[in-house]
Amino acid sequence: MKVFVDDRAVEVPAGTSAMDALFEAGRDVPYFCSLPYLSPIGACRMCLVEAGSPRRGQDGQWILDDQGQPKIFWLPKPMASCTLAASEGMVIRTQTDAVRKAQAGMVEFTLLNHPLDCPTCDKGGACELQDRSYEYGYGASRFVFDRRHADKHYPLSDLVVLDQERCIHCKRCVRYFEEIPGQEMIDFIERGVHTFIDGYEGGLPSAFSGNIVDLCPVGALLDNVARFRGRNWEYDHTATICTGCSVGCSVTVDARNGRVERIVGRDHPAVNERWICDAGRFSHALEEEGRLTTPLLRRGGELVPASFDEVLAYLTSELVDVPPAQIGLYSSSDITLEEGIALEATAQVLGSGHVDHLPRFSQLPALPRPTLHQLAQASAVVIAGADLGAEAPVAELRIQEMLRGAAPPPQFRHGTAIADLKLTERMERHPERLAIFSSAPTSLDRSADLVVRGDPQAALSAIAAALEGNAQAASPYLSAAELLRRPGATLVVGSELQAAGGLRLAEKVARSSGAALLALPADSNALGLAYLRLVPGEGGAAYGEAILPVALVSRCRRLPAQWPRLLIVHDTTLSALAARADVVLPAVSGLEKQGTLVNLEGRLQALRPAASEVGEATDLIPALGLLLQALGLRSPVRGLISAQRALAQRFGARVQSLPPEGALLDLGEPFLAETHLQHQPEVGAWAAAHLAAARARAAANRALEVAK
Amino acid sequence: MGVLDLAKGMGVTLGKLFSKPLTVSYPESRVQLKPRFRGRHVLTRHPDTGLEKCIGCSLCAAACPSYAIYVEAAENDPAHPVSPGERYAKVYEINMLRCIFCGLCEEACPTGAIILGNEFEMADYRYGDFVYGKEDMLVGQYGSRPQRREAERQGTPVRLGLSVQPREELEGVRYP
Ligand code: SF4
Ligand code: SF4
Ligand code: SF4
Ligand code: SF4
Ligand code: FES
Repeated sequence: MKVFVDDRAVEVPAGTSAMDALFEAGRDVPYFCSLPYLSPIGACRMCLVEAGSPRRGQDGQWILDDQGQPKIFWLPKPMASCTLAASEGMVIRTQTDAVRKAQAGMVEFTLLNHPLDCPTCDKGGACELQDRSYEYGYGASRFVFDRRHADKHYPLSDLVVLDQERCIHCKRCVRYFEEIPGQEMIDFIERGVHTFIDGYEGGLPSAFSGNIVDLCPVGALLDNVARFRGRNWEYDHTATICTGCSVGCSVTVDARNGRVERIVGRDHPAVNERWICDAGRFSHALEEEGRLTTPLLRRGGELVPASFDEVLAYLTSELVDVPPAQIGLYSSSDITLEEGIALEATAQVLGSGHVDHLPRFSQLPALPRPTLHQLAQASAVVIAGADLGAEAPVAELRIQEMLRGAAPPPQFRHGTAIADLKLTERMERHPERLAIFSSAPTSLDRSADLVVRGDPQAALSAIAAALEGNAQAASPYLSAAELLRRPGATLVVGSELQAAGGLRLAEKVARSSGAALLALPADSNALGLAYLRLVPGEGGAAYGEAILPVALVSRCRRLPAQWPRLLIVHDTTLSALAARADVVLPAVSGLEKQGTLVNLEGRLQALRPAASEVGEATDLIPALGLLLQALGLRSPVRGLISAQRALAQRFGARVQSLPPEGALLDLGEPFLAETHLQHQPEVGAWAAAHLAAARARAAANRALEVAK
Repeated sequence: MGVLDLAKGMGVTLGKLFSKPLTVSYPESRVQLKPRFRGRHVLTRHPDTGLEKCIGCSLCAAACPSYAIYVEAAENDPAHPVSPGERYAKVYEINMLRCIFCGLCEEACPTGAIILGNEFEMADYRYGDFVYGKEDMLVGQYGSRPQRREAERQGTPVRLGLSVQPREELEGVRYP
């Protein structure tokens, strides 16, 4: 479909909005209410353009003008381009005086009652209203009367603060809650100039409430944890990914003066679209509490700060008689591939089979993994033994997308479609497409027609029987089998099923129904680490399974059943485990390291370090180097570069030059081993702890001042 | 050059011998400054309420061409506000060694909180002592750090080596 924008012609697919067509042509209009992934509603009237289209006569031919060209029938008034569908041969004018006047007039209207708190407003410097007023406004106001006054710094919840005066009634936040997580939480109250936003008494009971802070075009909705911590131009922005769970959402980490102050979502159309969960957004508050910045050494029964040299001397003398093959190496499953391959190389140098990563499951599915995009486009989803809210929160949003049945928004040269006309407010949801089998309540229960409480493994067996034509099966299992048989259905299994060894059963169900199988990994890089030899080797002990002379444990919080005689802990804080260690090495958090993670789709994504002050804390590679040095050994992987080289050899991919959207690579055959450590999904607990810390920090921001 | 020219030159010199000298014997006597002389910054207060005018917006820091200003804001306790409104400067520091006294901070300030005053005697011994905080710049504070230190040591009031009629924006500032 050809559309003419000013003097340029562009080819756009049918169904494109005039707004996307003109952006595709390299033109610009101001807009406040449209937003990628939300329905266009034409609320702000900023995106006005002049438009007209040719018409066909009764003979089906274009009606021609005097010059023999198709005659353009102009629409009588400037039109909101976001809600106007482009049509064949449409002519759009964005640069005429009439358009400029209309846009400038709308800026003036929008600013009529705006408080202009820019100096104290946390949005200042990154405010869409500031930018649009500057670019498109008259630069002066003719409004001489009293402005409307409303509630300022009104806490919608502990995490989000609302300034009703600054709201420009774009309705993005209202639409977001209804359309994305499907939890209606806030709405407009009153009419006309008195309209204001408000929510329930009980705050914002959603695990995705922080996204409204990113999408509010003005400073009406603000991050209460980052309140007044810095101005937008003062932050060091780092584009990285969240290490909270295996979704691996794209985020931007903003730090000031070496302290991470806030995390905002970043658009990744294939993974998280532009949304992140609250635990991922507000997690940094916990990462900072009680951070270790120097090594600690046990002297006279007490852990005291020490230098790396002292630790080295101590380890050298303690490890004299220890056979290297008896040294255990255990790590959490959120370490990067680089750290993972260094760990593998260290175990090989030591000749030790006592190596493991946790949490992990005993098996990986042998079927191809669906992508999140395929999940969002699935015809039906059956969830067995997974609480997505605790294991992979943003995957829950992709399932909500599936329930709305919307096709993914098209991509243009300017990115994701800003006004995708296929999306509308209050689209019908299809709860009949979702079935959940788990023993405990899950966050998606509210959206599914079929929810069965009970052992998910028994449920899967019943579904398998139903798939085999056993008509005796109880009706929920028959319906679930029906759902799975639909072409394009997906079976999602989580920790409850996988920890109990139900993966083979799930595979059988997926095979016999033809559904795709998404097995949620246990942690943010558990899937990637499965492709490295990080499981107990010949005669090797799993974590806490045997009394070892020495063990190095990195960032695991779990206490072992059997304690090693000499415990070296590498962690960010003095955890309960670290408190009993002989040597504690300071670690960096997931926000502070560089490397590569593999998300639940098998997508390799780059992690970049935020500009935060970490003292002497390091990632796992130098900690392993220290241990080897004390033994007088040397590993082929001694730093990031050699780790990348080793990874390139192993996987045939240069992880240091991944494309911005990451890469779905075939990593070969996984190394598997049984594990008997029962895995509880930690993201749920993790989210609760992180949110509590974020709330405490928001409260402390206030309490500090009260105390003064 | 002739004798005549030489005599002319000597004449100028002789003439100066009998005119009033321009030299000020600073620091024994005070220098007379022009009111627009830009010296050490003053953080002013609202004269009626006594609240600090600074709202911690960091615009001065953004405008500063030599990155001399550091601001850290915090939320006002409504019961005991430091400044009017929601936000105040918890930390406000200017590194006087970096500052080039251009006055751009003063121009950027939306509340007229930061004004370049007339004090200029800040010579000191240690780098760290040149970072002036709120306690050094809020209106009512006379003298630079070394001057106040010296005055305290000797038990005498701070003596400034300048005299000037302060500009009216420097609300509340009186130089002796
Ligand atoms: S929302 Fe934007 S325009 Fe309004 S006060 Fe905040 S920064 Fe200024
Ligand atoms: S609070 Fe923000 S996002 Fe919500 S309607 Fe107002 S301006 Fe729009
Ligand atoms: S869904 Fe997972 S990866 Fe995404 S923001 Fe939340 S914790 Fe982080
Ligand atoms: S002095 Fe002025 S410009 Fe600087 S932070 Fe304070 S109010 Fe803002
Ligand atoms: S009316 Fe708001 S973007 Fe078009």
